[in-house]
Amino acid sequence: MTAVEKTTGEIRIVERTDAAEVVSEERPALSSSGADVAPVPGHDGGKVRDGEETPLIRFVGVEKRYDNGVVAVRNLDLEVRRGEILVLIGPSGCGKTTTLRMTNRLVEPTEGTILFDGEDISGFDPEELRRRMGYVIQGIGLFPHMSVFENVAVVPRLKGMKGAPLRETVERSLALVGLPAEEYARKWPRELSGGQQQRVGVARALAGDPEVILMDEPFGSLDPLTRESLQDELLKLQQALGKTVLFVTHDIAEAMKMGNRIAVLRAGELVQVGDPLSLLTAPADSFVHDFVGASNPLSKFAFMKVERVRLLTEGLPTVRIGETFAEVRKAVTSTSLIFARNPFAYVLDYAGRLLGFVDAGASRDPSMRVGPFLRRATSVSRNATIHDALLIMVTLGILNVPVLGEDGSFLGVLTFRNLNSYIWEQGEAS
Amino acid sequence: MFLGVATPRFILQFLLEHLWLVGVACGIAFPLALILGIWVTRPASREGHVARYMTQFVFLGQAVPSLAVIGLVMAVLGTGEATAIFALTIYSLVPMVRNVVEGLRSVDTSVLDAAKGIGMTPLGVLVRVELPLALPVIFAGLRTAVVITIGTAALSSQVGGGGLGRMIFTGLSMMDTGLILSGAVPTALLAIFADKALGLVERRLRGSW
Repeated sequence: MTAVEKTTGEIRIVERTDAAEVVSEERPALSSSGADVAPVPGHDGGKVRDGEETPLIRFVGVEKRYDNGVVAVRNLDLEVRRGEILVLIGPSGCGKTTTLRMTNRLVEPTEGTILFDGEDISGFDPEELRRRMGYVIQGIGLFPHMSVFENVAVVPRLKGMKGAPLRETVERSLALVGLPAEEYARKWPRELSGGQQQRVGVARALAGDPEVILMDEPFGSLDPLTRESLQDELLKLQQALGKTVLFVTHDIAEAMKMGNRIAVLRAGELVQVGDPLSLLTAPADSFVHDFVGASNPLSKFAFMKVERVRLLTEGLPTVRIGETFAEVRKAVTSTSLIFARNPFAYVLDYAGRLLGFVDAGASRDPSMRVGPFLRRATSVSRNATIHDALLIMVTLGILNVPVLGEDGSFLGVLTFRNLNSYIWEQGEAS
Repeated sequence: MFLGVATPRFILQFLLEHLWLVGVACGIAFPLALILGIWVTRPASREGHVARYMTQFVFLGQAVPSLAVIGLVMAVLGTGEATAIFALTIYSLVPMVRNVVEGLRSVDTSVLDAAKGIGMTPLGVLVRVELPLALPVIFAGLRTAVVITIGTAALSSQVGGGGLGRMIFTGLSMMDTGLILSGAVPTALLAIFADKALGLVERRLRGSW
């Protein structure tokens, strides 16, 4: 898990190893917020294995035409894969909410079929179907006359649960959304803030252990800070539980952050579906291009990992902890690394992990050991994005960013020159 | 002053008659109002015309003076207790139905959407979400209806309904202030008491949310 932290005025990207983590391939960066950022599991990788399983939900030629002749959704073919967050996005009136509501039969399609786990949903009892799908909406829709406990208990009760298992389920669901039951279970919805209410909304959706969670602009009515933290927590939760999520939003930043894949709709038609990077680098048309903000050259870097850039691994100025400034001097004179200002050497421990760096001019005494002069180095994880690395270079005014493996091992240095070449090659290629 | 005319025994008898009229009328009207109000707010009937005309008819009823309703019913059924009860039932139906409909319609649409979306049956949504949330408005209608009916029941003595109205109208025709007051004061007290009692029941039913 990568997190950008503000520490004593400098930006430090730390690597945390988390047992529950699914190694991610690409992830959107939200470095500016300073919030803990959870990675998105496998964009077309990770546990989503293409073609191996039937998709959890499949829209086949789905159309919704209202009595007044308005076509809300036209000839939609779309798959929601197991374990992914698929975001439906588009301007208002594009049919995204209608698509979501057709999934749990709140709206019936006029044509086509929707398959849930390979079965046509029109054969399901609507209530039974909905109990297998969590539902979270922008208006939250908590039952104001029921306590938090009763709200969360609704779906498990509908599924026939009672007594101790019911209580445990409710308590577990509340714990998942960060609301300890002993403090919140007896409260009324009106006693909670908007953010807490929507947490209860998410807990209510989770309590029935649904196979998919349908979310219709769930964070749309919350203030930006609360929205950000609920997004982060939903990502973590989704990663830990592996739930499939169908997520509707009109906010492209939210879509880029939340989506493993994003389906862009316009006037009832699916324009393009793909992962965030592919929408940015290969938009299907000018509408998608403008909509995802592909004209901002920096935005795509948030979806590219530093691993894509060739790291400098040879001829680095490194010394071991316990060595002296004589070795430091030797290292900085023989290195191919270009220093922004004063020459320095990276200090590693005997296991090859990065401890920090020392300025070559910190001591004139060649027999002096480097230990007392050790300073913390700003580094990124191999899972960090180019956006993260660029941000560090620009904000700290440095040319080289060390890259670490999951175990903290020193993999090499991302140099500005190599980054520059990579960006140049990308431009040449397209 | 002929204050002696209205003995406590008389007052009690007329009060019980009055209570009987109001109780029977509202007892018939309230379940009817619930059924009607629930029916017209169901999506299936919302598209039909019958429900719409029905509510409009009921709402218009509010504008007709109570005495006119009693007169109209009497023209058909003649005089007697049945006429009085029938007229009172019709008249108390109006505020009840209006509030049942308004109460059910006032339930937050996102709450209804969520209730449906998480898999509640239509009956479950009605019983566990809509009615509890509409309860304050429905009860406000019931209270209004009961208070109005207590007042209107006084008029029903004119068509042979009995009740405290008998003392009031006899007092009026005899210019007997004491007799008028011994009918009017218990009527007023009954209305106030009924309103408060129903308020207490509502608070009990509603819980603390």
